[in-house]
Amino acid sequence: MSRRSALKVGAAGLIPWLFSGSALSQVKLGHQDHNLVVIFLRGGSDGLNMMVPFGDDEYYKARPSLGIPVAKLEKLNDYFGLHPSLKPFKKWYDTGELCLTPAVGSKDRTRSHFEAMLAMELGAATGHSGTPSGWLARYLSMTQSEQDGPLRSVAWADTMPDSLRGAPSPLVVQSVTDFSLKTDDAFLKSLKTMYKTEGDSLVHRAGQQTLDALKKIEQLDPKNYKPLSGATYATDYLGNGLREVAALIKSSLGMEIACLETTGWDTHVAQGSDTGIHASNLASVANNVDAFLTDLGEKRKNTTVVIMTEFGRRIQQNAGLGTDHGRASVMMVFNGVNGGKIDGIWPGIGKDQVDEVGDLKPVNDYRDVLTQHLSPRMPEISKVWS
Amino acid sequence: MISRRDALLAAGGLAVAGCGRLATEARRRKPAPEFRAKPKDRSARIIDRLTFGWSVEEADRFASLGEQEYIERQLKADFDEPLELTLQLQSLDCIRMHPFELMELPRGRVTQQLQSAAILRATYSHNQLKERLVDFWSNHFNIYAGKVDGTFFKGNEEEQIIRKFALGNFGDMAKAMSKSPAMLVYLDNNRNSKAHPNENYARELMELHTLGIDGGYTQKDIQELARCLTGWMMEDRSIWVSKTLRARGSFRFDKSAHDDGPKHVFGLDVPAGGGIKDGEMVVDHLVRHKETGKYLATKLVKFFTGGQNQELEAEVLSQFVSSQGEILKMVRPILTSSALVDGPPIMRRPFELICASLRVSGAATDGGPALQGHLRRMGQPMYEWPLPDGYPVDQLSWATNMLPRWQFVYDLAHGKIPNTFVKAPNADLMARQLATPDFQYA
Repeated sequence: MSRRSALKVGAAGLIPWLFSGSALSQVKLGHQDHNLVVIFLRGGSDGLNMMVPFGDDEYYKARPSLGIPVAKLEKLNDYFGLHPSLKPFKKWYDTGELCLTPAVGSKDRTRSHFEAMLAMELGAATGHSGTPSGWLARYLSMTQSEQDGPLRSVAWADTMPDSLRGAPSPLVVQSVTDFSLKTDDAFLKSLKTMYKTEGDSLVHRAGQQTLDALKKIEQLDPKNYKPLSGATYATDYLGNGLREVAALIKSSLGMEIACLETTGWDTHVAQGSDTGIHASNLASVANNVDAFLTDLGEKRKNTTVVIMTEFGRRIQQNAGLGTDHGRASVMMVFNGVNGGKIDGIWPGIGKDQVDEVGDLKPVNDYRDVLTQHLSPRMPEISKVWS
Repeated sequence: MISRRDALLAAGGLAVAGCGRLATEARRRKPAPEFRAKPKDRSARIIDRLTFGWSVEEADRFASLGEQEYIERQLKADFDEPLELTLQLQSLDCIRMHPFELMELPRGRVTQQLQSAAILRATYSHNQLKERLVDFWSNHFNIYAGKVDGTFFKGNEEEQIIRKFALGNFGDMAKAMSKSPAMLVYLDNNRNSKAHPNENYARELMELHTLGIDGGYTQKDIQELARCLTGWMMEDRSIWVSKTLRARGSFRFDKSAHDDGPKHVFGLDVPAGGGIKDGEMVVDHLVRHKETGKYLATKLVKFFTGGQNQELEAEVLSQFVSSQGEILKMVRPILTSSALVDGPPIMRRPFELICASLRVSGAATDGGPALQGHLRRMGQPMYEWPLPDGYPVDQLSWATNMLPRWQFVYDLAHGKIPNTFVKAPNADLMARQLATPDFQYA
């Protein structure tokens, strides 16, 4: 047993029991045995097509061709229904693990993808707040400890996501399975000399981080990873990523935060209804996350999954049978708080309830929603927002 | 059964592909470049920033012309291109064929050819500054090859607009871009009609192509601009219009879809009944606007120097204003600025690392799928950034997993990349040199 895993057992089990009530219980030894998985839907996913407000006639008036008939929805109550592609989520909602919050957004009013993503990933009111680092990066810095390994935060992406900008040592990979070097020992040895013993530039740090992670990931055998029965991941980008997240969580190699992303949500044209582009994107998310939750088994209770997007879409459909940029969408959180509930405020989609452009109002600030769900297990989270 | 067209394409493809191979072969037979270490001086820095990486050949060109003349020649982009490059490019369908003819080919092959062309030009062209600016503008006006038929149109758009104006007039480029079928389709303006305006293109035209996010426009301006651009789309048939043939895939203004009411966009009154002039008038206003100049100045300074510099940005802006958007004049002051010459090094992005390695090692390559695989694993497959803002420029975005970089330089030096050849008397030494932290910077 490694030093790290011994500490983890201690932190999770023994320490609170032995020292409950004493000053020592305040001492933080390593991180809690908790994982956060954030899935970002880039492009602005249409929240009204995720939690469909079928109970309001305005919805069908605004969406004459995109609207989904009640009969096809997975009803949550007599007002909201889940998109048929999200059917796999209904059971997690029913078992009290999924909390749904509609009308979530930031203070960004530009309706620009880049500004709105920046706001949410930097943990700021708007993309223009001057905050230099990401919200997860600040959390990781605040809770940094000597026990942190090189895999504490991992993103599955081509480039560094802004939420990890400035983090102590984020790792960005396309795939953990391909995380290996096919060279000779002499070359690897010289890399270690070049990157570990000289300098402190951006490149040096990235190189050191890579070498440390390489050593850790060698202990994992992702190619031969077998998900629990009943868990079938798709072979798409998200499915491959989540499968690797599950392998890492189960391996106890010290991963705490995982960031994943998908694109294709900017549905200005031919968005579709119960079938179509948006429906198949949602199906990928639903099937893969469902597989992931199933695969985690007993680790599931200690894993919070957040699905978020920079904004939702205009209530009124456009001529291209799509929707333009709006301001508010849905946030879905698994194993946070208020599972099995629809949370937050619903501002309504009536003529007198929407904003001046005709958009659903983002009355539930994404920072409040995240704080509520994460602070029980990540108490410092309330301090990261700017 | 193979159709006549397929047969012709196959035959043509084979013949010219052979030509491309011959060019690679010719390069391969050239003597290995004399080894000379890159000096740590002003000339090496300027070369590293104006080009896709220092090489012995480039250093000699710089030395024989002298700094000032070298820079002026790069700005004019009038160096003869190497014959091998011309031959290699001629073998690529994505450059020679009309988009709708290209559609007969498999999508994947066309994207591969686009990426080959980008690698070959960036590596071998003698007009290196132009190639760097093509990369800049191609990302500034990014379209995603994977959306709709983008991959069939991108090559044509790059030839006709981006390469044509890369060192020309920004307004001319942006105006041509506003009528580029590839852009109009990518940003959904094809569906922008009077009955239901689609804001996508109008928004990015102001936010990403001209004014920038700080340009002071409002959501209302976006909606009004979208109205001006209703009916701007791509012709989807080849059709005779008053005795001239308008080819499928060309720009078309559909009067019946245009909103002819009066509009007010960003301080400009657009009277009713203007038809296509509505959009032309507003685009013309936007491309000349001082906010556009500011936004471009910030981006260009960051691209070449890696950071912000108010004084330099002000100088670039004043050139934008006085020359009405001549890119050559805007870029010139950056190239000899102390921000570029004395500033901190910039981490090479993956595309830049690949080209710099090929250049410094004197490699012969077809820029083909094997090399592209390395680029993809590093996270920068060309023309495949899905969002309209283009690949990020800031260094932090790329300071990620280093394994794909190390694997690439190792494979390059050891001759493990098919159709890419280097003459490395000591492969281990070359691999180590290209893997140094130092070489990751320009």
